[in-house]
Amino acid sequence: MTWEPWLIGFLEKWTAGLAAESAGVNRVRYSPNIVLINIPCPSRLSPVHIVKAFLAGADGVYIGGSMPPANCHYKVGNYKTFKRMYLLKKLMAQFGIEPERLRMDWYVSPMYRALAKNIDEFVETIKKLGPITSRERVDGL
Amino acid sequence: MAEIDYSEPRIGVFVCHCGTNIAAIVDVKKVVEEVKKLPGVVHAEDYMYMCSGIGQQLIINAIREKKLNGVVVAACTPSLHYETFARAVESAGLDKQRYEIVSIREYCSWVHFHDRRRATEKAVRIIAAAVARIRNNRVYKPIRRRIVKKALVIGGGIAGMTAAIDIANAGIPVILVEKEPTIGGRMIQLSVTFPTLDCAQCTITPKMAEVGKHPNIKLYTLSEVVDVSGHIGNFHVKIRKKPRMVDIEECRLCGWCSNACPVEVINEFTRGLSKRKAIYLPFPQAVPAAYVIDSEHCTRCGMCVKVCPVNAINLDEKEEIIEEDVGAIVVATGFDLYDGRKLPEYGYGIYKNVIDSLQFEQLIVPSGPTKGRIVRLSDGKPAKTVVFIQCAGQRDVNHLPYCSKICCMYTAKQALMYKSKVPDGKAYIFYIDVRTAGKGYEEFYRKVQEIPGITYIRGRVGKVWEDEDGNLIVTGVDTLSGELLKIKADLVVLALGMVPQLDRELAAKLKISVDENGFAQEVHPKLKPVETEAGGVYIAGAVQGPKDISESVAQASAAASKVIQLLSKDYIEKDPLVAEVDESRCDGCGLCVSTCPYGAISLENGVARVNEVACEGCGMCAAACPVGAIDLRNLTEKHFDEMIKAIYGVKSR
Repeated sequence: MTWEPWLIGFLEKWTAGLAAESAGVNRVRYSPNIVLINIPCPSRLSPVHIVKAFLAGADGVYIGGSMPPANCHYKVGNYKTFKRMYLLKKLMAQFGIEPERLRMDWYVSPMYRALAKNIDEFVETIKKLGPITSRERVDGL
Repeated sequence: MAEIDYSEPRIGVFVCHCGTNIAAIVDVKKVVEEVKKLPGVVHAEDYMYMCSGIGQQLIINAIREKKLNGVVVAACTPSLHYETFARAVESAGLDKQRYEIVSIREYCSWVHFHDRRRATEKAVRIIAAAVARIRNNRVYKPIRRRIVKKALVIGGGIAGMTAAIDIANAGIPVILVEKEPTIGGRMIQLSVTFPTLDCAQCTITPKMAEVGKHPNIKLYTLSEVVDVSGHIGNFHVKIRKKPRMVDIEECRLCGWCSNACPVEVINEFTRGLSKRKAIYLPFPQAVPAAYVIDSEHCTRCGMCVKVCPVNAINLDEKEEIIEEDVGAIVVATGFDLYDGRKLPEYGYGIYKNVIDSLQFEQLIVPSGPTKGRIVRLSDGKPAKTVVFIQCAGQRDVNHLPYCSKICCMYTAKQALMYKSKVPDGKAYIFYIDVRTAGKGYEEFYRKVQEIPGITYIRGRVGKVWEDEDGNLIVTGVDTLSGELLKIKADLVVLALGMVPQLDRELAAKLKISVDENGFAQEVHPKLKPVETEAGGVYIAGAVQGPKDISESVAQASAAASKVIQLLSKDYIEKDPLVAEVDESRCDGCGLCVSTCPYGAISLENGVARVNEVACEGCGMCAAACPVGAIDLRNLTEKHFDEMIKAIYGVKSR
């Protein structure tokens, strides 16, 4: 069987999560190769969670947060997330994982078409990158 | 009922077909088979409609018979049926913290209809993650919070006033905030209402007076909500009250001030058809009944102060910030007309005789700027030919994609009123479709259609321009006959669409979401039309979508009844999913204290302590803690680990 990527996506349930819901209601199709999990706020994610996802087999990790400046349900969660993940992306290259495998997008709830488009784009990117080759090496870390 | 033992996971998974919504795409039988293999799952079944009475009973029976201590329902979105199944599992004695609903409809079958195999696999992965989560969920005691028995209504139009009166009549104090100097909203600008031709002002002024003198309603005019914090049952709002500079209690409405005032500006109440002074009464029946100074245009010359016989004017009054605590909020900020200047082909804003529908209402009103005479605005001659253009800027992807619903009816009404005032006049109505859904509406339209002198033309207007004599020339196509038409008109009336008056910043502060067109988003279009994503915040009237007066009133009463339901309780139970500190690990570095956006964490005796009532459960602190001493209940490190492992533990086929 040929390789196909399975991605994991964390969506802020108040904005990106609602956008994903609207995508469903409006039957906007996108690639199924991503499992979306709603969480209250992406600022709950620490870089450790992302690295663990890669170790567990994720080919890409997606984060859908709320559009700055005023849409964050928890005031500053989107900024916090951005800063943490920005730093993580810098580190990822050193682990041997392409930084493109972590993607963040920012939403307000009506942006369901953008969500579908972004996920499709992201899945395509990961398909081009192929499987993570250095997973075994990282595992042994 | 036997106590449920939570020691070993015994999880039941219930997969819904949703008719064919899920089952046509996702192979439900296959999903059940795969799910049974997941660790902790002791029972899995599927059913046609899990949300039905029979479906819920299946869950209840399984909990009892199989001694389940965890339930995962894979069906539609939690916003639709979380509560439905929560009630079902609780009736079987299971705590709802050990239940979760995951969407395999909106998040799977409805978006992956092109790929059945992967959709099925994805459904299994979604359920696997939910099972991993439920396996680790612990049962916490709910946190109780006191409810503030007071409501805030934003917007003093017909919807806001109705909601305020209904809530106040239930004995609950209401704060009504209106940004204009008077309440009344759009309805007070209208002439008569369809289909009964009741005088709009006569219908609404008693309501306005009732709001004004109701002992339970506190009215803030010239005010806007600038900040909202807190949550359902306990909001803290800040209201900015602009200076009125006239004492409402003292003002005797003599009008001497207005006569003395040397500043003349455009009157927005008549939509620019007349002038007013810088100190003015918006209209005679205004509530509160007092003059007001337009601080933007007032030159502070002091003439009005000199002539006022009761010394009611104070030019030094300053803006105030008022703080209030309320338990529930109704948003009824209403609508505005679409900006006609975005339609240059119709000449709005270029030619004086091209007006919008609200301006035409002002021409019909007997107390209006022309005393009820329908005239050309350029020279005051009687208007013998009027062209109405329906769907102006509506049902058009370049402007408003939606239908504003009321324009067909009010155009018919305006044509009828025009004919009753100018019996020898001619009215032409350009329409695309005439939509008259509503009690008595079709009959009304029929009546208008049969009046000689009113001509309905199916088609769109191409262009409107003015000839040398000041007449408007309207060119368009009659799409039924295919004829090109050229009509010489005295007035052109544009039925501009409704756009919501909801400031995005305010929406964000209220934590309500807006749709693509800027209307406030309800939780469910059919079943929860007045609820919003933010608990305790309800919507009423045209801010939710285009609607006529009767619908606005009905929705306002619905919102009011929701508020009364909420505020009739003394306490509200808050989700106990807050941050928790492992004191043995905490080294008191204080990083969480500075991270928390709510100031809910403090350091006590060298360890962090979480204020459970203030904590909103975002988990920002948990991700920041360098020693892993603080964690979010039921979304812990272990939850993440196991969820991720579960998703990738599912074998690809």
